[in-house]
Amino acid sequence: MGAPCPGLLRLVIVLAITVQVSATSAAADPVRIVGGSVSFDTGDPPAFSLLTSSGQLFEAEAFRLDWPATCFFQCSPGVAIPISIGITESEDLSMVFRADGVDLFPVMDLVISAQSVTLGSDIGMPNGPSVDFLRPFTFAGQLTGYTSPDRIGTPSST
Amino acid sequence: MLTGSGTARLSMALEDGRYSFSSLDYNFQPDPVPEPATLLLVGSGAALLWRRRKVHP
Repeated sequence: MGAPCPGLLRLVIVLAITVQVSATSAAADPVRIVGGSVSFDTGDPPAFSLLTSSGQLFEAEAFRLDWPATCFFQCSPGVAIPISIGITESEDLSMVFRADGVDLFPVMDLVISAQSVTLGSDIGMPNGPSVDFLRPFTFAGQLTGYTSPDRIGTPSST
Repeated sequence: MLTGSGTARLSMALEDGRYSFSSLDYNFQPDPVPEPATLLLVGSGAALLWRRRKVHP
């Protein structure tokens, strides 16, 4: 049996290293959000649902949104509206939080980051009597659920 | 640590040239992440093509 082609051997080694590095970085990645939404408007209570890459589903109501509510009431074109927000658990004890259908007491510290919208400068899409503005965003944070209201001990969901 | 990305939709009511807040929605989208198996498949194909070109120039 002859020796393998040195060029092919070199390629196989490079490929093996590439796959190993890729697999290692994927294993070290944080849990990614692959679905869900965070919504609020002037009427209904805010809605929150996140589906993670590990298959967990988080849902919450009555959470706290830290948003500088620029232009909540009337304002003129030229105003920049920040749409980055922070999300934390509500201090209201009636808050509802579920992880995979189980009610839990959460510790949340989540941040959504996006560029501001400048009314008049940004081109919005007409939507009936409203105009919609779209922005890509990134999301990062911690979300932990505890079975006890004092939120200590081993978390049952993260 | 949770991370994600998506598209935000800010809806503003428009009346007589003035705006007011209607709603703000953040919809999460899965990030396309190459799987190791996909990388292996693409890499193997590239290696075979490269070898064939060397053997049969």
